[in-house]
Amino acid sequence: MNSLAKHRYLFLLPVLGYLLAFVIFPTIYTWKMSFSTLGVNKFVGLKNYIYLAHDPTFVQALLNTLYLVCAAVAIELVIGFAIALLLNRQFRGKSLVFWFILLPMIVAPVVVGLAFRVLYDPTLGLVNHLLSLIGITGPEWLTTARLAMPSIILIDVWQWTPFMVLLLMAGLQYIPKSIIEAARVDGATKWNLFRYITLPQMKNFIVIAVIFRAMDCFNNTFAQIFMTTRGGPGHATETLPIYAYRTAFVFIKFGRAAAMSMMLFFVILLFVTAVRRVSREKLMQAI
Amino acid sequence: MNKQTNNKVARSVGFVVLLTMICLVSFFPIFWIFTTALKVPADVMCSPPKVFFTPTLNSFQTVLGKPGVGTMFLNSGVIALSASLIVIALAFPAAYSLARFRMKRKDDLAFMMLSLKMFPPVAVVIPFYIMYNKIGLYDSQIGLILLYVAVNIPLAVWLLLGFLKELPVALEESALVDGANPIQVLLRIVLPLSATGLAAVGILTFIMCWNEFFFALVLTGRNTRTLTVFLYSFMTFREIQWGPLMALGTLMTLPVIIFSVFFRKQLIEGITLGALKE
Repeated sequence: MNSLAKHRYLFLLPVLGYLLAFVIFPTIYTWKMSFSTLGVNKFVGLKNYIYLAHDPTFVQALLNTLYLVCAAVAIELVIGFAIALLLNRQFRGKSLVFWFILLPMIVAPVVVGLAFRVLYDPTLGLVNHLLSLIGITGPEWLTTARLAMPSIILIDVWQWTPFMVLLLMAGLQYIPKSIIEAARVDGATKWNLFRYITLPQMKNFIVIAVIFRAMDCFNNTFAQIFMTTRGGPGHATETLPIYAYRTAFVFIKFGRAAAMSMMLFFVILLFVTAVRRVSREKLMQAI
Repeated sequence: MNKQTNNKVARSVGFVVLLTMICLVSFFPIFWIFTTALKVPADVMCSPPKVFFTPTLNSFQTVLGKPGVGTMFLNSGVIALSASLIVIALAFPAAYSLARFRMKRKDDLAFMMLSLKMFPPVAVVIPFYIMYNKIGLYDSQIGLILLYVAVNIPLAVWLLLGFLKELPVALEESALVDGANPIQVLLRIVLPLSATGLAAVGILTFIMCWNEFFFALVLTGRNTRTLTVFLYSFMTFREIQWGPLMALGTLMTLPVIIFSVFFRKQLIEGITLGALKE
């Protein structure tokens, strides 16, 4: 009836063409560049990848990235789940609470980095001041190698736990009330309810939340690190995006940086595949 | 009986305490930026941090007095606004088509668009940097706008798709039966009905672009520097001026917070990918 139906693919064309030109094609170019030096002019085979395998900074950046993502996402999942369970009821002022929860996610990452840099500051920072009130001399959070990454993780947890809360809350609403009622009538304890009903029912949502959060954490935890530690001290908080950025735009080694960003892409792909395999559920079924 | 009510009271008090803590933790770093921006330098550098102080607008004056700040506000605003408008213009027809017409491999398509999130920004930006330097788009507003559109389109299509699916089709069908031209239906009926959805997507895109740092750091230079890059470069001066930095942070955050007051629900939906509705 609607004569536009004939041209339905035409409507998609601008978007698809745009994405092809501005995302897919550049990534293919980068892929080619990872086997070359200076643009795609000179083919050097696997030289860039072999270099990376022998580059201790790259290996450390890779491990740092995995450390950051795994720790941050795991902590966010646990705290986020707890808060989602807490909020999953009717109460007055619910929308106000949600507004507060929304805020960390919409503040610019550079501003977040700035705020935490001040809070962590060893002399004027509030964190160490509060610690001193209970008699602890606070360490230099961002400039001690051992503590720098946990400090970054804490920033990420502050900013993105809300994402987990919101996504998991959406999931909790899909659990049929009748199952919970039935289990309660049968005398299930709270823990049993959680372990044998909530958790299995939420599996798909947990998988999606973890995958989306992890993809974002792999790729976009840049400004927070750049504003606070810039990858330091030493290479303690150097992640793949940071190192690839420096390799490309500070050391001007595009081939190497391209190889590095391709490695990042494959790590993400591997991570997502692994999470999906572990959960043994098709992602799309739940979306 | 009495014990039971006591228990109930204790639990609801505990609940309120927990809620308050969640809100406090969420808001505190933002609050800290705002208050530090209002302190005089001596109060900022004071340890222990001062809770009570006389607020001043000195830091705001300092930061707004820096040369080029106005231009940078304008850059950020113009780039974010243009990107949002283009995103909407491109995403709306695509989402409409996906929502209303039967299509082969529709699910694959939707999934493909979301999986673009896997592409590292670094991998995308290197070719742009090289190409833009060649064709003269480096350090131009258009260059950054083009890239921001690409980054934000997938989510926009996805969100609008969810929104359009919930609009009643009956109205469109009856208009078509009455002999209206489908393009007219699209422009006169569907478009106005989608206004809130479009506004939500537009604002989410605007905020994303306004906050964006990485692409701006790589692709802007003296002429088009945005606020996020300015904030960063301002910090790496020899002596860190916390007050003015915080004032700039405040000025960057306030518009976003004002948006969030009016579009809380839409922003939450957008950030959680439309709460995965399907």
